[in-house]
Order: sequence, then C-alpha cells, then structure tokens
Amino acid sequence: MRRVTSLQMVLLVLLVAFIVVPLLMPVIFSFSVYWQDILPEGFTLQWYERFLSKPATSRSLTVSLIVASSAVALNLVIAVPAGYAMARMRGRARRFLVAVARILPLVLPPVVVGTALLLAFSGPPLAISGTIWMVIIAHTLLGFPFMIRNTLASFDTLDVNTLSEAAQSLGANLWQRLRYVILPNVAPGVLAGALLVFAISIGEFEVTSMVAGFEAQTLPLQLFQQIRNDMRIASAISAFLVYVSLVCFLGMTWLSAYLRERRG
Amino acid sequence: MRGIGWAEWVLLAPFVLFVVGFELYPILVMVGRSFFDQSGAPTLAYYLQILENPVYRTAIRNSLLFATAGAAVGALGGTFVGYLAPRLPRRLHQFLLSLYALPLTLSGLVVAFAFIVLLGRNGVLNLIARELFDLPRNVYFDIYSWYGIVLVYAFFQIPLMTLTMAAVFENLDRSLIEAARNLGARPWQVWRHVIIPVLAPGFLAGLSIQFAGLLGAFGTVLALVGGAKNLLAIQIYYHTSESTYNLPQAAALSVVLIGLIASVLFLLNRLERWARQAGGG
Amino acid sequence: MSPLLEIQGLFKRFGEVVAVGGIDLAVEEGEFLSLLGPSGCGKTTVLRCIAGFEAPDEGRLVMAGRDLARLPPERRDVGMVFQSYALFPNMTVAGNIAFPLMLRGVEREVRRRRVEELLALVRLPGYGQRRIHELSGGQKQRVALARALAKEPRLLLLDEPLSALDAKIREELRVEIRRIQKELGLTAVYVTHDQEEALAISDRVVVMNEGRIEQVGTPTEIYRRPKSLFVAAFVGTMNFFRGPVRGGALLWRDQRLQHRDLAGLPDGREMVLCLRPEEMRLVAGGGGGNGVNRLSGRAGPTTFLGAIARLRVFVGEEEWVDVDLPAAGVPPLEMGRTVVIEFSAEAGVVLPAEAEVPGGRGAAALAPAG
Repeated sequence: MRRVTSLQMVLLVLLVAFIVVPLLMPVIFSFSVYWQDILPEGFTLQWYERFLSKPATSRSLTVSLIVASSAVALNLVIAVPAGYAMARMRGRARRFLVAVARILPLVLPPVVVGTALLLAFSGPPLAISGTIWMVIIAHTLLGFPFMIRNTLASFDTLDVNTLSEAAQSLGANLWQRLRYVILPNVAPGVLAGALLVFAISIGEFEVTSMVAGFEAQTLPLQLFQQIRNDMRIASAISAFLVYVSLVCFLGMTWLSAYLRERRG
Repeated sequence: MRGIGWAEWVLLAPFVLFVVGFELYPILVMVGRSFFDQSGAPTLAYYLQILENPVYRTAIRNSLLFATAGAAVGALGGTFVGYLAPRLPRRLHQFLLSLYALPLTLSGLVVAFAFIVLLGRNGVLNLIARELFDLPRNVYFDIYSWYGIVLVYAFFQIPLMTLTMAAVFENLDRSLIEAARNLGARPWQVWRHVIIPVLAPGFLAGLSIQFAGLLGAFGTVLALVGGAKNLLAIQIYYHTSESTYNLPQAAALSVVLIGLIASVLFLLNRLERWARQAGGG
Repeated sequence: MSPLLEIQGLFKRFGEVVAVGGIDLAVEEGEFLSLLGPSGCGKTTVLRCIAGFEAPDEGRLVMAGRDLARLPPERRDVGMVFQSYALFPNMTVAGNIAFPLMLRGVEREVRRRRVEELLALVRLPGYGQRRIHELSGGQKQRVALARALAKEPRLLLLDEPLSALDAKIREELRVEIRRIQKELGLTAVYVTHDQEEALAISDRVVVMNEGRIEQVGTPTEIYRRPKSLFVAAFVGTMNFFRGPVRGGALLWRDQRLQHRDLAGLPDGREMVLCLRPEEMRLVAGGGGGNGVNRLSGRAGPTTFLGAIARLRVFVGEEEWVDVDLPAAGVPPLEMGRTVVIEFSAEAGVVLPAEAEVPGGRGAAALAPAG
C-alpha cells in the first residue's frame, strides 16, 4: 500500500474541491432562503416548489424527460446494433468506422450541427425544426459516440464473439444466443451508455437552443432564462440537473465496478 | 478475419441512414446555402463578408486565442492530475478519477450558474477575499472577463484531459523506464527518448479534443456574458436567432469553423506522427 | 468401417490469403487426431470449418455419412473447446455446463445430476455454484471441457485448449483430456502449435504448413520418419546434413556420409540427411565404435535436460550438430576440446533437398550446397 505524502494530501483536497465546490453551489443556493453574504441563510424548499408549479418550468421538465428518454431509446435501437456490427468486424473497415464515429463529432461541433439542422429541416421535405422531434433527433446524434464506444467496449472486453460461437457450438440458435449470452453480458455496458446519453441529453443546451421552438423548451433552456430572471428558480433547476448527473454517474460507477468484478 | 458481411450491413443500416439523413445531409445543405443569396443566385458575398468585416475577423481571432488558452489550461491541468492520480493509493486514485468523470455529464449552464454564485461580482469567493484582505469593492476576480471564462471552461477541460492522461500514465510501462535507466540513460534522456514519445500520442489526442471542443463552445459563454464576447460560435448562434437572423451568413461562418477545427486536428495529427518518429530517432 | 468425418478438397481463403489450400483427411471413429503446425498454417480454419463457424469456399465435409454444408453450427453434432475458455461469465459453473441441456429442454433434475457427473469426470466435484471469475485457468478449461461434453457430441473439437496455461498445468490437463477421451470413447480433433503436445496426446498427427498437409501419421512415424524437411525441422530437434550424392554416399564437407537409403541414388542429386541428437554418439577417447560415419569437431556448450545432456559440437565455423549424451556419469566436457561423433548407416532419414530447410526448431548444421 502506497503512503500518501502531505503534499499529495493537500493537492488531493484542492483537486477534489475544484470539482465538488462548484457542484455544491446550486445545491446550497436552492435550499437557502437568502444568500447575499458569505454564508447563506435559512432553509426552504420553496424554490423547488416554484420550479415545479410554474407552468413554463414544470412543462420543460416533462419535455426534457420525454426528449432524454427518446434519445436513449433511439440510441438503443440505432447505436447499439452499430456498435455490435463494428465489434464483429476486423481490419480496415472497422478502423474506418471507429475513426468516423470518433472524429465526426469533433469536426462538427454542436453550433454547426444546430445551424445545419435549422437550415435543412425548416422547410420541405421535412419541416420539423422547432418541434420536439428535431430536439430528439439532435440529442440522439449527440449520444451516438458515447453509446457506440460503450457498446464496442462491452463486446471487446468480454469477447462476445467467441462466447457467441461457444453458445452456438452448444446448440443455441440466434435467438437463444441473444437471450442467454449476448444480452446478459453486454447489458451492463450498454446500460452505462444509456445513462450517459440520458445525462447528456437532460443537460444539453447548445443545439437545443438553436433548434427548439416554443413547444420544445427543455429544462436547460428554462434555466438559461431564469439565470437572468430569477436566480432562485435557476438554483432549483441547476440543483435538479446536478442530481440527475449524480444519479446517472453513480449508476455508471456501480456498473463499471460490477463489470470489473465479474471479469475477475 | 472478417470483412463486412450482410449481417454487419443490416446492423449498421439504421445508424448509417440516421447519420447520413440527419447529419451529413444537413451539413451539405448548409454548405450549399452558404454559396447562394436570399434570391437564390450564387454568391461568395458571405465569405467575402467574413474576410472584410472586422467583427468576423475579430471573432475568428478571439476563438483561436480562447481555444488556445483553454486547451493549454486544460492540457496542463489534466496532465498534472493524470500524472498524480496513479501515484495515489488505489482507492483514492479510483475516487479521484470517478470524480473527474462527473463534469462530462454536467450541463454547461449549471456550471455557469455555479461560477456566478462563486465568483460573480458579489460571489462567495470574492466576498471572502474582500473580508480576508480588506480589498476595496472594485477589486475582485471578474468571472465575466476572458480569464473568468477560461477558468469556467477549465472545469470541463481539465477533467476531460485528466481521463485521457491518467490512462496514458497508467499504461506507461515502468519496466521501459527501468530498462532505459539500466542501459545508462540519464533522467532527462529517459524523458526525451522514452517517456515523452510514449505520452505524446495520448497527450496530442487529448489536446485535439480540447481544441475542437473549445473552438465550437458557446453555451456557457452565452450564459455568463450573453453576446458581449465576440467568438465565432457566438456569431453563428446569433445569426441563427435573435435580431441578426441571417442563415446563409451563419452557414458560411459554420463552414469556416469546420475548416478551422479540421486544420487544427490535422496539424495536431501531424505533430503526433512527428513525435512518435522523433522518439525512435 | 467408414470414417466418422471425411474432409474432401477443403479450400478456404480470406481475401487474398489462402488459409486452407485444398486438403483431404479422414477422422476415424474413436481416434484422437491432432492438427499440428505453425500459426497461420490453416489448422484452426479447418477446425472452424468443421464446427461451422467458417463456410468452406470449396470441398465437402461429410460426418457420419451426412454432408455438413447446409447445417448451421448449432445443429452439428460437435462439441468445441476454445483457447480462451469462452465460459459465460453471467452464469455459474453449473449454469455453463447445463446450458446445452437447458437448450434441449432437459428436465431440471436430470440436468442437475448430469452436471454432477460431468464435474466428477473433470475432477471438479462441488464446484457447481462457483462463479467463473473465481476459477483458475486450468479449472476454467476443465469446466469448458465438461460443458462441451454435456450434449454428448459425436466429435469433440479442441482449439489450442492448453495454450493459455502454465507449463505444469498444461501437462496435467493434457493427460486428463486423453484419459477422458479414452474413457468415453470419444473422437477428438485437437489443434495445437506445440509439437511435443501433439506427439504426447494423439493417436495420429496431421502436420500442416501454409494451408496444406505435409504428413499424416502416428506420433512415432512423424518423429522417426518425417516425410518432408518441414516436418523434420518442425517436430523435435533435428540435425541436417545437406549435399550431393556421390557413389551411394552423401558428400558433406569432403566427407562421405553413409546411409542405407542413399544406395542406388544417381550421383549429383542434392539430398539432406536428417539425424536426431539421440541417434548419434560421442566416441569415447577416440576409440573404435561401430558407426560407419564419423565427424570430428569442437565441443560447445552442454545443456542439461534431466535424463540426458545435449552437447553442441561445432563442425565448422558456423555449423553445429547437437548430440545427446547420458547425463549420468559423463564428465563435463571442456569447451573447445576436439571430439568425435559417430552414427550408423541406419540412423536417421534421407530426404530430397527440394527446398531450403525451414528455420524451425533444430535446424542445425547445414552445409551450403556443393
């Protein structure tokens, strides 16, 4: 066991504070009656109450949940099979696809994707810009790299191809291989990917702010308004987004620990 | 051993269709639109605007400076944390890396909110500093300045780089270093010939992600200062909405942004190859 | 009796690379057959074709009178053991072994009893409830073997099952696999790149190289009577003497080496005399032995190998011969001393020098032609 030197300890505290202190700000703010001085005063739940009772913000919560769930669902049916296909490939074809999946989101930042979607889908043949559909499609696109990476990693680290062949040699048909071998082994990794996509979708502001009309106001869009209008409601929305991130993040940590243990 | 069989095509089809239909097709439409004016006549006016209008030229310059500063802070900070983490006891190491994975999922607006509370004009840290050092009211750390914005982005960039570099440092085979020392290399020679060539590819890949991300970033800036800071991404955003609505101009600016990112990625990729070869020579 | 499995003209390519270049082979009922060769020789592809994971480009596979072509892997009557074990980490040991039985709808109680029997067979009784990651490599492969046997296949395929294991475990498990195969009267096809393993475990060995069969034979035949220089070099340690035939003997560095098979061969033909280290002797103190062939050289290093010691004798600048000596009672030879080795005209085999001797194990004293 390595010893921690006192210098390392100081650095560690600073590094932990660098992440934790900013995260605590919206949480403390959201429970405080009043925070104008160094220390906040009082305890209240009324900012959460206002966040949930105000029609605009409560509606945006529903919209965000619908969008995030849909983006996860679309990723499951689109990106997971793609990740599986890449895992089955070898050589140049695989390297090419993996590189595309890695580089495309770098070269096409959200602001560009937003502009392009706005231009392409504001009129015929498909005029969906400003609708919730456009937001769902945008978030699905943003989730792809993460879902594909997680799926690919699940298949690679467990060598699902060989496991699947073993099952086949034991008499399992395609459906039985999926049901008993492939899905149970890939599920934890895919689930972790789904949580990541969900968390990213719930917090996404950039593309959403460009393509969402009035009917598709997500939580971050409301948060953007409230940072100008009312910091107290903004604090409740921010804190809520922190909670969602934390839950997704704890889920992912637990899943990766579970996978590590199973791999032995 | 396998190429692409029919099963792979079937599995890939939805993904390929989706990416082509909702990513590549819109991009092509966008590139197309940047070459035609409102009446449909072909024109290079939007690109000439970018060359001539000082607002756009400043935006490009600011974006490059901002991305460079942000990437430098992220790369140095992330490399430092990534170097430190594997030296800690296993549990602390894992805890630290888990914690640094957290910002990846966090909304940029939440972070903007947090830093406004912490370092805004009457932010907690500014108030504490004022109390401790008895500073006048007009001396404070300005989160709405370029420094402030870079600091806020560091909250994303440092963790992002940390995850890359921690993996790189963990994979750095200690026996390589020991072998080099055993063969008579001095510490600086070990760095020059062994450690840096091993670290360089990961470092430069991480740096590419930093640059690409920062060149296109605007959400957190927008939440902090609105349109007060002139960045390329902010210009694009304002041309797609608000009063300065001008989609073809936004399209042309987007094409320039793609070009900038692609050039930076290309240069860093070249640098990576060079670093790899330099290690051997 | 007709063979259990017949491979006829099997041909398989991957892109530009020909993995299996048209082979014919019959696997007899109840025999243990090994496919031996260096990596990339096509042995694993043959196995994967039998299992149904690869479709042959040409040729037929006939098992028990039935063409396998249209039969998907899951409906072939074969069991397979993988190098990487391929145990399902989401199931227990018992779950893995019972898996093929569950697929067939075997009753729970029958399944449980069968799992116990199989665990006893592979000597892991009481391991049923263990998780896979709790097992050692050797234990994993035992479980994989039990699982492959659970559906009572007519043919057992083993793809380098011992390659990932430590030497000690490898030998132990090799004996176990052979025991179980005999006990159950199984037919097995075993793929390995380890010649020692192939010789130790098999009834017959098929040596493959570059997608073709070099030789099929019992371990003794393969070792004693290699039919090609490739087999001679790949299996065990071999000394090679290459030169033209001159008057019924082999001319090697102005010495005439005698061998009974050289008689009657036309002069000038390039041949290679292959000799195992144990087929040569050291002539004690220069005194007369009964070997007709004698070579002198300088003693090189001696390698202690347990029952024997292997002495390297330099017979030229860069050429050497390995000779086995009984380890007991031999005084250590000082390096550089002149020694004489001898061998009879019956020892070893003579092969045509059709090509360069491949640089496998034991490629030793090889004089340039002429």
